[in-house]
Amino acid sequence: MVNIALEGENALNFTVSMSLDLHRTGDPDGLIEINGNGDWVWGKTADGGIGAVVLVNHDDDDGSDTHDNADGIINADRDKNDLAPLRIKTSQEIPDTWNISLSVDDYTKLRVLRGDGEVLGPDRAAPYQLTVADLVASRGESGLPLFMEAITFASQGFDGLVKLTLTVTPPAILGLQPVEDEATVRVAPWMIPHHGVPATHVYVSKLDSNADFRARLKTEVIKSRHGGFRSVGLVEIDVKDLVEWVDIAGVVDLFAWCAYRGFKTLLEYTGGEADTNAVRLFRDRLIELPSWVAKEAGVTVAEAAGDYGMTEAGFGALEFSGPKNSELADYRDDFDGWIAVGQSVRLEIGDELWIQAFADLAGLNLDDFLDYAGGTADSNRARAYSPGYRPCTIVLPPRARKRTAIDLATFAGYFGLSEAELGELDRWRNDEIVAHYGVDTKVYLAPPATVRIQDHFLAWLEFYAGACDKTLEEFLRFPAPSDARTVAEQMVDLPCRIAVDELDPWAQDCMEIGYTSLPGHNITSVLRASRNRTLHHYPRTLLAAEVGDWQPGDLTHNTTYDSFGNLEVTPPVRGPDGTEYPWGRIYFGNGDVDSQFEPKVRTFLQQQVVQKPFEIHTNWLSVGHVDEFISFVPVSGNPSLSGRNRPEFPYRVLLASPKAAHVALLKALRSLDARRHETGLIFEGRSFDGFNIETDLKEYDDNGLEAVLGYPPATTMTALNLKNWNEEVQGIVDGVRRVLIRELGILDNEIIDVPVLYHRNNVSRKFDALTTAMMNMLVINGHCIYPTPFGPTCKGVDYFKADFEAKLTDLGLVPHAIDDWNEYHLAQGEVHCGTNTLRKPEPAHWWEFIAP
Amino acid sequence: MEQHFIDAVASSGHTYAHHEAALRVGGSSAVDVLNRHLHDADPIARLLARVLLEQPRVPAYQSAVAHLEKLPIALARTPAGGPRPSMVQDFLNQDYGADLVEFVGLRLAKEKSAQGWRVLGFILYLGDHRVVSTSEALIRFATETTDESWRGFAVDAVRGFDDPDLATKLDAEEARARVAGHEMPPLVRTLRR
Repeated sequence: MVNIALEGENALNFTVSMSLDLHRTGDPDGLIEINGNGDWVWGKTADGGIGAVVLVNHDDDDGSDTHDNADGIINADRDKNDLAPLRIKTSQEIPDTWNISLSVDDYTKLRVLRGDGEVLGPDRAAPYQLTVADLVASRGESGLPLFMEAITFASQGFDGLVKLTLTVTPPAILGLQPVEDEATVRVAPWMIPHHGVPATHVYVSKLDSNADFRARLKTEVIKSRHGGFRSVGLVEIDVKDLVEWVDIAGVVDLFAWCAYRGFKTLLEYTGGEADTNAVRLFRDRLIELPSWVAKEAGVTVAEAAGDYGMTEAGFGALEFSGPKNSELADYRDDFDGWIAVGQSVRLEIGDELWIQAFADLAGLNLDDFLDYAGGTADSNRARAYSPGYRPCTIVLPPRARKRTAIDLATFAGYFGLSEAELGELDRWRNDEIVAHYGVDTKVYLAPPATVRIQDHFLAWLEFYAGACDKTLEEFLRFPAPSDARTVAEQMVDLPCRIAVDELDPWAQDCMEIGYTSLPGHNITSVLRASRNRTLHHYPRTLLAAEVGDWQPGDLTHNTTYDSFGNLEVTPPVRGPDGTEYPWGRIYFGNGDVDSQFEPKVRTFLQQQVVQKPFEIHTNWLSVGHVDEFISFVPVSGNPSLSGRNRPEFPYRVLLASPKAAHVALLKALRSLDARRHETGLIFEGRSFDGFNIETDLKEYDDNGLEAVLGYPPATTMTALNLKNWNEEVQGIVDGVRRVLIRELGILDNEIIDVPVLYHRNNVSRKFDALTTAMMNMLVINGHCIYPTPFGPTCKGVDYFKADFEAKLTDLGLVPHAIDDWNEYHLAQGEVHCGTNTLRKPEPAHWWEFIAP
Repeated sequence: MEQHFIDAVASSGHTYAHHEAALRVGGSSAVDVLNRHLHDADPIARLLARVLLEQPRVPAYQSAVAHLEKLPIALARTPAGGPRPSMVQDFLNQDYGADLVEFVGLRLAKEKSAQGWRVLGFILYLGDHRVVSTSEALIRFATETTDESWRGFAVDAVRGFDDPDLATKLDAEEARARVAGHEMPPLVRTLRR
């Protein structure tokens, strides 16, 4: 408050005050007058807390599709709920010669609004001088009403505090100094609700490939509505709406000719799944003409087909241009280099199917094909081929070579193979190998073109769908045409587009649905991950009244640690130093020295203060997210627990435990009665990369698992390997356990061991869950929707599942097992990774936090 | 073959790979060329000659490269989305120990435009083994790369080598860069301290 008291000739006596909404006191109008030096102090006012609070007004109350704080107006009546009031009152009439102004110390962080618009802030970055009308209003009962909104959350270089200064400047003639009053407001922090907070919506990506999973999820979500819990809605994110498409209509006719081959074989090749996942490697690049079209400019496809001695022309590879991206330039060079050289390419071919495939490609029977190739081919060796897996060699005519990789891939599907075995690819000149390409056992050909060829297939699948004016789903069910030309004609001149993005199934990773609170009022605040995959578009689509979105980091950072499966919060805890964290503590995997959690996001989280983050070691995992092995659940509804609960911590930590898995495995083995020749299974009905891994339990215990995991070459996971790997993981998890106890002040018996077996991925050399990581689950209103483990099973009992369900039930929780094996587990995620949750917390009195 | 060697030393990326492949399968004429360059004035030329003459290790080189090609494919559909450098580092260490350091050094010097996970994985691997015969490759990479972050990792790795000939190697690289019309980046110069 500014008091002015002058006597004599200039006698005056008035006060000017500013009042801000602190909501910390019992003031009937919710405002208190600011007096003092403008400090901001944490705590209840009654306990010495000082200062006011303001919200980042980043929702969209007026449906303008922009944040409300992006402009200098009050966006609809309900927007006032998101604004913090500020009033200026004067005690009596003030002479016109006196000047009263309001300013802030950073105009980019706070905006002050009057009913008719901004008075100071980003667009009016200068002190606001009260007008005569303002002064008249300020003398009224409620003073001059103003409103405040924050422009940004606390972040790097901004601690969330903004100082307001009210200045009363006397007329110069009086020779008096200006008098000031200061107040500080703190921007409300962004916060994450914990697993015990009521959930209202579950999100999952809507893809063709996870249709079965979604159906199962829906069933369990509906079940979770029973038992007195509030209802939960399931929101399916239509990822196809978010995918970036590129129009390539101009080249449709050129590709029409290849339609026949495309339909059936591509669909078989993809096994009914369509996903342009790998194409995302080319995100943000333009798609140009397919390379061979460019190369064959002026040559009709028909002519080209004739040149190749084929009845139909195949399609070439797509080129993706990106002048800013050197990787692309490399690719183009590589590919061009490969197809431009004029010698034969010799393929070591390990299966007669390929010979037949090439014959079919040429529209010839096998003998004719070998004759056809005979001009330059080592046809004798091809003829010498006999059924089985004896290797043979065939030399392709030079001009057929450019499509070899694609043809091979296509034919793999044509012959119903999930993958095609190729030998190595040598380039020959004058009977001398001039280049050698190490070729893996998949259909991919020489590096680095391997990835791209796969990409092209997936991209082309989308392309065909678009060319037929069908959705991908419809396209996959489209029958193979009997007449290629008819289809080709149908396709000519149809508009076409191609997706340059993946069909992203990881709903958890794209966003963290948090909130930010004013007294009595929340805005749901969706934090966008620094993750440059398709779903990064999704959070913005949620922008609405009372729902905002925010992105504290750069999309280009884009490491695995930046996904928000790697960002979680504990329930309320009291740290070992006695600090209360009423809204829990944020935790995340810190990353590698060379691949870190986005520093801007780290700083952002630290600057929110009240959920002080701590870091967990996760880089031992292929994916490296905290949700892969840690979860928190509320303890509820089981009276027998009362004696085992600390009242201040009615929660439990669920932590992956290979040791618990081993115990459960032994228990299962002991349950078998050898005299009755009882047997058990592990991974019942499961496959991994197309290999059936269902194994007799005793066999598993004695000899491990014979399976191809991760990627060829095959890895046999011996019993010794499995033992060593799981002991190593247990050691790592034990270290994490100590961190949790140290940071959260919890007791050892408040951590529940969840049986999970791990293996070392032979490609990434990191660890992956072998059975499902059951704690990687959805926790909604006391219900736990977790992935079926497919653990050791004897006489119908899955011992991992039974162990986990017994532990959850004991806590008063309701377990719901759901099969996510094919849709998520095989892709190194689980239920939690594939879903997201909107929770509705009570507004937080965060200013009462007592910092340590 | 001589021309292939000259072009290999002068090039990078896939053009380099082409010339390297030609030398690798070039038979006795290639071996003659490589032997002649074992004492080349250019340290990268010497490294190239040494690596390509190590015929017993060729299968290891090829299988290592093939494995690295699989990494992005294997991880594309996972929540991780792609590889990270420590995966390369772990793989090379677990499967090959120190056997591939010179090969990796050579590839690092020649793959200036490769993906970050691969580049940094190579640097981490070289940093683990501190073989002084690879310090010139790291210095060359640090001099030529346009990525400041990668340069920093490479410089840090060299700093950890305690290479007694470091000053001489830096002088040679600085002279080479100057002839090529470039300045050695200041960060690389800090290795002199």
